[in-house]
Amino acid sequence: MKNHNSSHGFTLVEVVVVIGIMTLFAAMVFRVFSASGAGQQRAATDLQMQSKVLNSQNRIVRIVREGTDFIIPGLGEETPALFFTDNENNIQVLYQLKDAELSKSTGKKLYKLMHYQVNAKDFNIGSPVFDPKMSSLIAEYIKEIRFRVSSANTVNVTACYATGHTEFQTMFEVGLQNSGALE
Amino acid sequence: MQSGLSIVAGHESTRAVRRGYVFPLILFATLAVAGFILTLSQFQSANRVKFQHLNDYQSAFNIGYSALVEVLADIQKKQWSNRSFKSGPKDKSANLFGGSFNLRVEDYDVAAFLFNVRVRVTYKSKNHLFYWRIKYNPNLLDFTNLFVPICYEDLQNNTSASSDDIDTLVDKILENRVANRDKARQIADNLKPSPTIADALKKVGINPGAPPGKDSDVPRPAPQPVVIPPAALDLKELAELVAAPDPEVTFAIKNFHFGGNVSVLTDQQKELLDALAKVLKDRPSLKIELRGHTTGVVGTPESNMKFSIERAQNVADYLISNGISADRLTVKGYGQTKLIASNDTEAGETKNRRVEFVLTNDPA
Repeated sequence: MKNHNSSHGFTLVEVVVVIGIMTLFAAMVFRVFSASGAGQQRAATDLQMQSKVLNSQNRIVRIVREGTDFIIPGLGEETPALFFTDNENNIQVLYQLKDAELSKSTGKKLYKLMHYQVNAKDFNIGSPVFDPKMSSLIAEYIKEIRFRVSSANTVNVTACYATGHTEFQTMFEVGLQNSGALE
Repeated sequence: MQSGLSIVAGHESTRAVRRGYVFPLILFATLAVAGFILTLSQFQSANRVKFQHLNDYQSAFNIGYSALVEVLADIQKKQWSNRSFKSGPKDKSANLFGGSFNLRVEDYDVAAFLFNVRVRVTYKSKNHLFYWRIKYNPNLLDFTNLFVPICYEDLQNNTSASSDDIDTLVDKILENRVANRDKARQIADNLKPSPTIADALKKVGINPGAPPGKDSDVPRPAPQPVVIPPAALDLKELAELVAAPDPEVTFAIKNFHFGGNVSVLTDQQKELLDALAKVLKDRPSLKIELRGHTTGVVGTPESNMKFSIERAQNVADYLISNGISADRLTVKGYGQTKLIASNDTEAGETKNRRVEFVLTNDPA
């Protein structure tokens, strides 16, 4: 009997108990996962937003690094846009545009950060023409961005990004890599 | 089969039950835990990779910049005439900060002290090429004109850091820079006084009809004139500075003292005299007499007399070089005859080593 029992699989009690425990376990695990699911999703969107913020920060750094002189703001001034001359003496502009779509979907006033390059050679001061090809999107979800020129070749950028439920702030300093011209 | 399904009591069966569900339980628990950990770690590593990737460019730039700084430091150390790339292009490769770089430095225009530094950085299987054309400033022993005309990224196909077309491209950029200079200045001059950001954007043609950015209509502050505070020239009645002033001496410059056996002016003294020169320029009727003094601790009365005149004369010369006409200044030496403090202490000696000035015309 003893030998028989042990060599011939499970008893009904064993099977019932194991299935019961498995169900309980599954239910518990499912609850843990589903509870963390919502939090995870939120964390995931936050992380995504953080990487967007970092990404745009990197882009701004790369653009500004090529500059040689700041035009606007003046020394010590803080403005919502940045104008500077680059190493080819073209004028580069970082400016904001109102983002109607995102403002509507998030219920907040949000802006896009745009980059525009003015080719000095072809530019007509008297009647400036906007060339859409020279304009590109740098960042979205911007609630506020400010540029403050703290020395002849440094600008401090403070930006606030917002999604529907969270806000992100970033503050960084970019130095012009070009100190003085060679010509 | 019959026995397998029968419900049996007794201690044999309890043992069998226990043995029966230990294995599936452990198996299941292991699977559940493993699955959970796997999910979490995947989630985390995916995000980490994403962040890391975003910062790769910055890391690569740091490596390139560090390599450049090393080159500049080397030139400083060895002097320009012994620079390592004097006889021809110099290459260097090394691993740095988890990446590697491949650097070439060479003369570009020896007469103008221009040289090129190309750093090719490999970081996380991506290549970046950073290029600097630098001018060494022999008078200041410094690199005052640092210039990054271009940085390339992801030059997977372009394997050599020494390819000549980059030089050509940089030359072209610099040519454009020269060609655009006047125009850029014009545009900048036009932009700078813009009363608002919206106005400045309009001046470069950025669509005035587009929805405006935040605060673009806020008036900008009027340009502030640069105010440099004048050097603190502390004009005080001599009585405030010394115990027994010469009754004739109306003013002395506080802290205008010389070191022992020194008649040459220090930078700090020059700064004070710059301020005095300004006072004199503002009041053209003012005339002053400069009186040099010594301690008398060393030298003979005669040599001290000469030395005190020298001190006063140096002050006068400096004022004259600052545009004060010589006929407004008189120079006198008193040697050791008019001590204002005891020579027993260091502080007293310092007070005695001085140049005073007397107003010969009322400042009014």
